[in-house]
Amino acid sequence: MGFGLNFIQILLIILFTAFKAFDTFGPQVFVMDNVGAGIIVGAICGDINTGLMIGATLALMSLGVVGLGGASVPNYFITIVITTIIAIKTGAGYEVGLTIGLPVGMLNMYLDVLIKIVGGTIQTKSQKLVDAGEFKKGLNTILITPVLNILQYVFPVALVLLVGEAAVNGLVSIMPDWLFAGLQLAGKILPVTGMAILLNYMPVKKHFAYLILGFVLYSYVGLSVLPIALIGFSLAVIYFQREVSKPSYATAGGQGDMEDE
Amino acid sequence: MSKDKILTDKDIREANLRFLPLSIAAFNYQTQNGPAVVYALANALRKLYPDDKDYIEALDNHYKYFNSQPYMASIIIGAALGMEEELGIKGKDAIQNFKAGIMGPTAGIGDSIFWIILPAIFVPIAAASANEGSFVGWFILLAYMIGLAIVRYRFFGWGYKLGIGIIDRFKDKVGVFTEAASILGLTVIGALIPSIVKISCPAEWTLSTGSVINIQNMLDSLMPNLLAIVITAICAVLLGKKKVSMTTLVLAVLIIAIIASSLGILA
Repeated sequence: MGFGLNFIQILLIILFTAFKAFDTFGPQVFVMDNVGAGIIVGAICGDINTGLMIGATLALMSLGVVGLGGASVPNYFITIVITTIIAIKTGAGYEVGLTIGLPVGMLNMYLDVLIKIVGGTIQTKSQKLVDAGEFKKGLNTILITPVLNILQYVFPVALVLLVGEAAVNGLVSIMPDWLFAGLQLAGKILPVTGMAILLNYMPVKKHFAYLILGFVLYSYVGLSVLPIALIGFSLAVIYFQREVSKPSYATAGGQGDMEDE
Repeated sequence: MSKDKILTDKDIREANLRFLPLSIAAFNYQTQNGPAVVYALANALRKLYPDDKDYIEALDNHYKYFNSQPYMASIIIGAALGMEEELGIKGKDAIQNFKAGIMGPTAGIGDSIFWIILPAIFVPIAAASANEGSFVGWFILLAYMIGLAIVRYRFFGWGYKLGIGIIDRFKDKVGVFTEAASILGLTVIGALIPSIVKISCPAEWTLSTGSVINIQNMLDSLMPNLLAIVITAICAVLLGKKKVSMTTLVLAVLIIAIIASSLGILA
């Protein structure tokens, strides 16, 4: 039980998970920081580099996967926490971790839907109390949904910590080599899914040339991503200055090219 | 007609701090983020409406459907509070119409800038640098997030002071900014695809003459990282034009990867 984590480590993981839920539904400072989630859980489990690698992979998968307009999406943060714990503490590797972490992150979506339904009842109850003049009680009722949302993150993580080790051990003992190799390949392809949805949101047709430029600079010229980002930044600044200095920049830029929705 | 200010800076700050932790945390399918608005404004409205009847009417007015991109919502709720102070309970329909009218267009702007374009720049840099075992990209991402948080904290007060006019004032520049940021984002993604997706085809054929045809070598001579582009393009088309859901795509990738790996087509 608990993947050989000590009490302090388990406590830290639960607290971090609760904090992440609070931030994701509230101030939203670290919403996009799945890289950091991997780093922190990795550090708690004693292997920061494995955490960094898992965080990076899942960060790419989760690009563009945002619940716009109240849609429920797979919870890749929970996937990161579970995958990192399993990968580091069982030594079974990232692929086995993902085999447990990915389904849990996806099933979490239904928990999210459930809470949004319950939230309706809470909103009605709260308004009734306020209308009856019980202001304090009515307003505090609103806070039930945020608490449920924190539990939405903590519950699956705690559950895996509680019963996950047996499941992982069972999985490892029956998993044939071909399945392991297949999951390894899937782990390499999955980051593409996040980039693919992102491409659908961006004005790819209009600015296709920059996609090619980035590709060529990496594949043929052999630059790494950071200097390529600086080149992209320079091009963006040039574009911005040129457009803004045009007398009619308002009609020249922007409107209608976003292939959104 | 402008009345004397009733709300102090402290009241505004308190309303802002009551909204931040709730942004989307009280979400429900009927009124979406309505309860968060009620909770945020409750104390400030109490000050504006000492009479219980008015207070209940004002709160009921905010228990209605509300949703925008959360950062934009800060501006809108701030501006709505400014209107409450200015117009009083007589203005409740105007306030509701204002919120309902502005939330859609601002959500469009906010979603594309804060959830799509800017993350498309900073997250790939962090991830690509992490893949090389470096923390530098993550530090850049952290700096971006903290900078944004500081700006977002001010949104509520800007909305209250300046009204929603500030969005109109920046609207034209926002279009150009979005385009420029897309250029940077797409350049990074162009480099990211080959840097992340390291897939090869291990299949080989031995001809009767004894020479071996290695598929991967052939693909490489055509173009390096060709498989990465093809797979990304297929996924993009499935998610976009073919309207396949993300969950379905992820499951399909798992199954196809297991089959392709077993058959020795991909590794």
